[in-house]
Amino acid sequence: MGIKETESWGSRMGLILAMAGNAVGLGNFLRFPVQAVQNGGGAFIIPYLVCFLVMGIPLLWVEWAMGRFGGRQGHHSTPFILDSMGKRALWKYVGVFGIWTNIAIAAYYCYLESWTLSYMMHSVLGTFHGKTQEAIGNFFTQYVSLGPSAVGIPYEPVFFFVVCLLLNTWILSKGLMAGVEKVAKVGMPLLILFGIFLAYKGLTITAGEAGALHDSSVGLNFLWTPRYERILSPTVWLAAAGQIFFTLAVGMGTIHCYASYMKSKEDIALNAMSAGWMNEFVEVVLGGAILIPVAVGYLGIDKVNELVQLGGLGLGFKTLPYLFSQWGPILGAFSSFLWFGLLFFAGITSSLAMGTPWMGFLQDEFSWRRKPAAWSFGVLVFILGMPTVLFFNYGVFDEYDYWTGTVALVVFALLECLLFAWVFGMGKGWSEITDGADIKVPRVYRFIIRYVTPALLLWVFVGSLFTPKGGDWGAYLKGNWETDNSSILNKILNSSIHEKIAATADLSKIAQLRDQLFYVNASRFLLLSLFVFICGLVFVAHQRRCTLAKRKRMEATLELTKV
Amino acid sequence: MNMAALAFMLLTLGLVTGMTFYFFIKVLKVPPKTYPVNPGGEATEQTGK
Repeated sequence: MGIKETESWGSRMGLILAMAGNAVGLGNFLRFPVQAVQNGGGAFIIPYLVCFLVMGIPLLWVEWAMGRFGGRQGHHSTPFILDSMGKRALWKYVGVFGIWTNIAIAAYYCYLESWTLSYMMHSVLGTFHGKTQEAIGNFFTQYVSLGPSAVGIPYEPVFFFVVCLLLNTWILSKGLMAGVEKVAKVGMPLLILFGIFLAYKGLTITAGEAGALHDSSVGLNFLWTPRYERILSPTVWLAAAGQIFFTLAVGMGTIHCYASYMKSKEDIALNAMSAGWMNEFVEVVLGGAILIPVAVGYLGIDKVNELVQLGGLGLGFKTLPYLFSQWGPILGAFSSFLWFGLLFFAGITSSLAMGTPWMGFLQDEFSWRRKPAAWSFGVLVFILGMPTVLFFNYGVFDEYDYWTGTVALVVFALLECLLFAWVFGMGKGWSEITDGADIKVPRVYRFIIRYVTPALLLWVFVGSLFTPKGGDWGAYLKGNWETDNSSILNKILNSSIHEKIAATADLSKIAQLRDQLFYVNASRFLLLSLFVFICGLVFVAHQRRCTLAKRKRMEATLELTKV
Repeated sequence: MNMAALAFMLLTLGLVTGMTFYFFIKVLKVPPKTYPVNPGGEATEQTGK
């Protein structure tokens, strides 16, 4: 397909804010602080920043460059962007990851986003005021179990999920400049503003005031005290690499898609650095100053230590509303509203990005108009997302998150990196990165992109595939090859659920676990079906291209014969 | 706060904030690029709609 007139970004700032918004997500506030606490405190920052420099930045440049390159040929989704870079048929099917991952992540992410919307409403209505921590925890449990609504909305989680999805679809249907870019320009500054206010509150907690047990310095000590002995642990490095991955939204296909709408000579080196560092600012500076200092200030280290084992979601939704309510009815409701508003903006700027690859694909390959393409995304996400809403307690949500939000990202990033550096060629690749660059890109990155980043990605993948029991890598050296239940291998075999079934004699518990096994396998089947469906569409699109090219050749031959 | 935690925190926050502002200001300072304009008066290739 030739170059055709298409949408593009309205301004450079709009592009950077949209890219930063794509990267900034709920994980910046909920995942990063928990990862830091669990993996060496302040010392976690060392592997984290190293991974950012040798894996995060190179991948950002690679994806921006691939996107702009594809955009020049009129491609706005990864199947045909990758196809234009490596001339083997296989690459366009590797590119399917860049659409599939986004639809599948959007399916559960929109549900997560809808919680923030609902919690914003409950903050304003004062639902959390005067409630005990246990009652607020139960509110969350009841919410995700589709229990009776506190405000009388029937099936409240389904209602908010649909509202959230409609909002996303409507914004997407407005287009890149009037929809996505506008939301990023409003949402990102607001998010930073809300974040600064909450960070200020988090850093000024005083023991004895408003029920606080400790000064904020206790929480900061807990988060930042370096445990140097952890730096040598491969588990910590794996966690740091993983965090960099998720926070930058690399390996998803959204960056390619956004970059494909850039002008052909527009800078990518400086834009990518600006968006990448903006994400780091939100994650490390703001994200590090809210969740842990506030939680430790009011609950103490022992309790928080216990809560971080359950992950950031529990802390963010079950604990923080209670802690904010300690600040009084007005300031508490206001802070709670800002917290969930901040998470909402972080979420929506990311979920909008997830819609664009699918829309770009339909517009490019099947000449769909923007609106029907946006609504088709909404329908797909609704179909795929409803199981996460209805069967949340059976692990469907976590299953989607694991395969699409964790494993698929690493696989796709590894393959695209190999394509860029080894198939497309580092010479051409380097020209793509530096073409129109507004900063001098250090030449050492030529080497890093070719050797270090793929090696690191391969290590992350292999490390996740065969994670040793309890993260004890030393055991592997001693010949103990027992893998952990968090490893990909054990996940495929559902080892964790089988172990639980074997360990209990309670028949009702066994029946529940068997149900969980069914839903876990069914959600995998659903995800796999979606992948095959998109592969089919890519195949049809390719056939259409071939037919079109053949027809053009025939027409040209006829013209020549006439002459 | 203990010294090690304080040092780690200040160094990290300083570095991340500094780099964020450095690149952001650089973006603001760079003048916009000009693109060739076709006879119809529109920029070639992809145009903002």
